[in-house]
Amino acid sequence: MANEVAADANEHGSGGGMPDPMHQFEIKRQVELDVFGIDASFTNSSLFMVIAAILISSFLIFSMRGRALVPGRMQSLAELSYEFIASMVRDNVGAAGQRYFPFIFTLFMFVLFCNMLGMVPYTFTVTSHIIVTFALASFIFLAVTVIAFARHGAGFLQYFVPKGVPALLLPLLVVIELISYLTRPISLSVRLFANMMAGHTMLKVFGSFVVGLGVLGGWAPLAFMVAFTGLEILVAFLQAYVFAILTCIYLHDALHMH
Amino acid sequence: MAKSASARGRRPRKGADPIGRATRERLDQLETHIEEARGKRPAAEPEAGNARGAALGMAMRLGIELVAGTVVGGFIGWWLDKWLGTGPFLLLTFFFLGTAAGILNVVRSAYDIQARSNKDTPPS
Repeated sequence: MANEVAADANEHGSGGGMPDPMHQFEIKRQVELDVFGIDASFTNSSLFMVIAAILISSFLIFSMRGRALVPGRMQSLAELSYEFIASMVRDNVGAAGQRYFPFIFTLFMFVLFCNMLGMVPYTFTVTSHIIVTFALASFIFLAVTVIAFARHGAGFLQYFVPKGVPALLLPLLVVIELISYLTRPISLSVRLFANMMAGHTMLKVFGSFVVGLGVLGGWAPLAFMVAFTGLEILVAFLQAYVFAILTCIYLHDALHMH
Repeated sequence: MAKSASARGRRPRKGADPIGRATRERLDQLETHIEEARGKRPAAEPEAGNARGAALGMAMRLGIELVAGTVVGGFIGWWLDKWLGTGPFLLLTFFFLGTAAGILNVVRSAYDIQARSNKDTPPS
């Protein structure tokens, strides 16, 4: 109970103390759900994932409803996002990657919408939790590995054997290559999560500076915050882009093995 | 963009023409107008801002790669030590191997970024 009161005071930033900048990342259970001892509650995180999915679906369905020859504003936006990912897949994976286009498009749109939704005040940023990004990244990692083995069989193991290396160094380099391959899900997930969490924490900290310094001194951090919000929107887009393009590059490695 | 649209418009279709001949003629006319207008204007560089954003995105890749290599190497060493009961030796070995893998990843990403930027710059 005392905790709750403290959390409540923190949330509103009243009582003189600094509001907790990490409070925004707290997971709250909306609908309690217990499936055979596993806590599968519908949380605020799940809620914003559903909102992102609904927004993406309605954006694409309603903007393409007119199917105009000369696209309107919304339709060109939808066509633009399609072309953006289609050319990314074409350039980075090649013709063999066209069948994976739906997956990469879905991935990009989901990460982009989750990041952008987080920029709206009072929302929850799904991608600021490492478990979410790690689940996405490890799914990509496993899928890419399965695709590689399905395509090349045991021959994919040659991917870990660099060419033109003296036999003495080979065992060492194979281990290093293997570790380098295994870092993929970590670097992919940490990059997205760290960028989103750091940015949102920073915004919150500077927000409390604005309130703390009052009418006299608060303008400097406020100006910084305006600029930083712009940067955060850029980062939200860039991280979705980097996530998608790295998936393309991993897919390319799996399909072409170099 | 204009090129692909014209290719789509002129592709011979089987069956009924869904757009109609008159509309198509008007579209072709519009296209020539656009081409004319484009010819009058000096060639702008719309890609400049986009390329800068892409470069920033690429730069963000590098820092994490190094850390991830070290962490994964250390974790593998720690886990193998726990499994085989071989003191801190495997942890130390894999820590350094992981760092090597991280550096390898950074160098590879840097090469990749360079190749990409070379490809994007038009031959002068």
